[in-house]
Amino acid sequence: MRNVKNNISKPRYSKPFSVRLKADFRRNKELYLLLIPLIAFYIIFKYVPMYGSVIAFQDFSPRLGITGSDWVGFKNFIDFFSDKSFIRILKNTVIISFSSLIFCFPAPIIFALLMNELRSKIFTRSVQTITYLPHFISMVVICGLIRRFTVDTGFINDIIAFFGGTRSTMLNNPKLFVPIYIISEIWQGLGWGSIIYLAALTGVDQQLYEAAMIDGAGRWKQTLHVTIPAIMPTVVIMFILKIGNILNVGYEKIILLYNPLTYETADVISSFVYRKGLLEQNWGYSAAVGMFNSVINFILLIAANKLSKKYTETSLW
Amino acid sequence: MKKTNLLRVVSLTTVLALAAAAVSGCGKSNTASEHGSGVTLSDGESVYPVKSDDTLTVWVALNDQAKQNYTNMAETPFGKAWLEKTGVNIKFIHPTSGNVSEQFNLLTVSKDMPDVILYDWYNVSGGPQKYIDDGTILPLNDIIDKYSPNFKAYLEENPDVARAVKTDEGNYYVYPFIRGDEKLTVSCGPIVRKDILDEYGLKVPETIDEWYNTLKTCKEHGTATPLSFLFKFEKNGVFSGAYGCPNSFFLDDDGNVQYGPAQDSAKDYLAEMNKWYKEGLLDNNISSLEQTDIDSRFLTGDVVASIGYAGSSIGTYLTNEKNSNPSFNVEAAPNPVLKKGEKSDFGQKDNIYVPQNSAAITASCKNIELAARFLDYAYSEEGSLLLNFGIEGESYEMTEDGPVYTDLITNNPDGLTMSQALSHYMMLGSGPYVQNVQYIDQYYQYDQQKNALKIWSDTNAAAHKLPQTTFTSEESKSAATITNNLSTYVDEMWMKFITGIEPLDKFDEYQAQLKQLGLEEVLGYYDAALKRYNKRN
Repeated sequence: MRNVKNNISKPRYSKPFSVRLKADFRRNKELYLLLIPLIAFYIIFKYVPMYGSVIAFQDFSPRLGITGSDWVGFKNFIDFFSDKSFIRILKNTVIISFSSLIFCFPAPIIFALLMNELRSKIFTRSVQTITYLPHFISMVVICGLIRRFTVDTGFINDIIAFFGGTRSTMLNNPKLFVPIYIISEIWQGLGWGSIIYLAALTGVDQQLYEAAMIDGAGRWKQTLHVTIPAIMPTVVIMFILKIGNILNVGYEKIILLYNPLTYETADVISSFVYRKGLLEQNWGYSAAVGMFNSVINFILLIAANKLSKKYTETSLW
Repeated sequence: MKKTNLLRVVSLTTVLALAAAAVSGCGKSNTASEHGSGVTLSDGESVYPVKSDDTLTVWVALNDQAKQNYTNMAETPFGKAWLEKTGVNIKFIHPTSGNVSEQFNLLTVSKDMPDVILYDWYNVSGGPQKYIDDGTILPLNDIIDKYSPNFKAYLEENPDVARAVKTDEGNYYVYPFIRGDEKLTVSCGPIVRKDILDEYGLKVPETIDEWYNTLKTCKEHGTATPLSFLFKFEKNGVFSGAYGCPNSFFLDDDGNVQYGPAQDSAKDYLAEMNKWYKEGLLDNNISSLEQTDIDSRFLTGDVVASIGYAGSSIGTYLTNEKNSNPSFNVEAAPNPVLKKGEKSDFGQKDNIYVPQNSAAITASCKNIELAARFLDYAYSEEGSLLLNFGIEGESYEMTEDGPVYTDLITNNPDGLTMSQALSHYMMLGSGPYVQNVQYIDQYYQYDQQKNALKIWSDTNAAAHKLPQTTFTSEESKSAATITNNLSTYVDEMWMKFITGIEPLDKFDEYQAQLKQLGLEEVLGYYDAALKRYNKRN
């Protein structure tokens, strides 16, 4: 990972690019063949649909299509910015995103570091398997579980009641929505998210630890001065990628968990897009909101990459 | 080397075979739909079975009851009989349940729609006329005229229905589901555990005060949550109706369109509900309930009052508890009022035309005549019997008093409930046909159900029900946005007022906010739509 930048952004080859490409292609044609489906995937599912974004500037009607629908300029955007719920959904989206960045992002890293310190193989394996599980359960089921756990007769309330607290259905309390969302998010993503860090950890040169030990470093010092610097590039890359998705709070989990009482803290851009687009069939408007979201994400991604390049010398490109 | 060659040959042939299959597959379906022989009949008459080789595709949500035993309508005895009698080949396409409206929205965006789509075409966003203007569905006037003599005759005999099932522009857009009798328009309302009330010496409550006292007494006797119901039922105005503020648009006594949540009386309603909530009479999870949560607690007696259906609540409960708990009893309560002896102005009541599962012919339909003839069959005498009662000799017998369900339906040997058995033999729930009143008398097997129908029907709801007006394309977009914003806001604020998160002092602010969200504007649209409706001929 640390070499990514060196290889890509500072080519040191003397021959022209086309010549090198040809030579490389001849040598690795099977690998290029394997690449085709991936490239096709991106073109078909990521690039081709982009032209559809133009409906953000239309009063779009599916039957008339993109060529037949009326152009309305920035009307959809203006409507969105002047919408009563604009401030609220933007605020909620930002709050949920940043909370998840602050709490959900470091969790798998810490978890991976802890796993790395374990010596018992069987224990490690079983903990890993258990923590991966929630990732494979469908979102609908996960949300069903969360609802059951937090309802006033659920087990979390049993614990609260045991210690003398009062029972309440937590998902009806707007103040608790974000904590529930974040905590369950950590639970869902902890094991799965740690895989990449565990992989990075296996790549750390064991000699470094030996050297540190000779210098008198204990476990904690080793972690601080060897392990963490070693996985830092991975962490930074993951962080930049995360920033690029910062406003993408998935609508599935939100709409499965919210109810009228928690709209004020739970309604986010994506659930708004879902309601406008799929339920009200306000396609153009919905596309405009989605586009707004993407543009913000794009800007954040570029900014994060720039900053990272400047200060940590690790970057995506 | 030889091995690799072989591998190459094998993979190449596989790919070629797949490609060929794909190409020929497409080709086949094309030729079938384009060159199939048309129906050869003169315009007026309809002779069934129709002779045609064409296959029609029909998109329809499979009834939840039928789903337990069948995966496709064509496999049900009803489906088989329908296809056989009409002589039309149908391929039924069923959306997965749970998000039918999303699937519908995506379906109508695609270029290649099924020939016929059964859906709520009245409440589609933008209104039915927009779908005609956009070229999604066909206006049916000429088609009915030419190919649907039975349905045409029905419309001529029932001008009120004819007025409701067309747009302001005069276009018919569906083969509708029609309640064949006023009796069929009421199906849900408040229900109580009669056995528990009797035990505590309570009568079935009629006024809001009586309701309060009843619930309070139950609470004192240890009932966990005396009242629990899905809040969406307040759209019909059950408790809110007593205060004259159902959570919907309605006609006031002068025939003007009003919005319930904006009425001053809503404040009193919310104050009362807040009181019930605080005292633990009203379920504290009211904002996030599901019907199954309520059903189970109603049966255990943790809930003594709810809002439910005569069929799926009262009927199901009684059947469930018949053996295990013989003392169990559930009765309907009248829609509550403020003053004793008055009749509620609201409560659930359908229009005669129920838009759910009404059939539209799409612009993709290749053989319009065949689709029209197929759908028209349901409006013939013979077809009506099939869709309401199923197959003669199997699911019903013809008697002097009309068709009577056999034991196969009412007392199924395989242990199916009546609605499960019915779902195999008829178009249960709704569909493009005229519902026969004799169905309901037999469907409601218990006296409690028959009483419920009488009790819930005893309201002035008909006078306050908004007729099925339609918006113009221009109105509808803005009307949809405003009504959606209004209802989202009202749902949220009502919950907050009831649970006490927002104090009722904020009610004035709330009313002002409704105005800001465009209430006046949307009332104007409704007003104009109502005028146009009254002008329809």
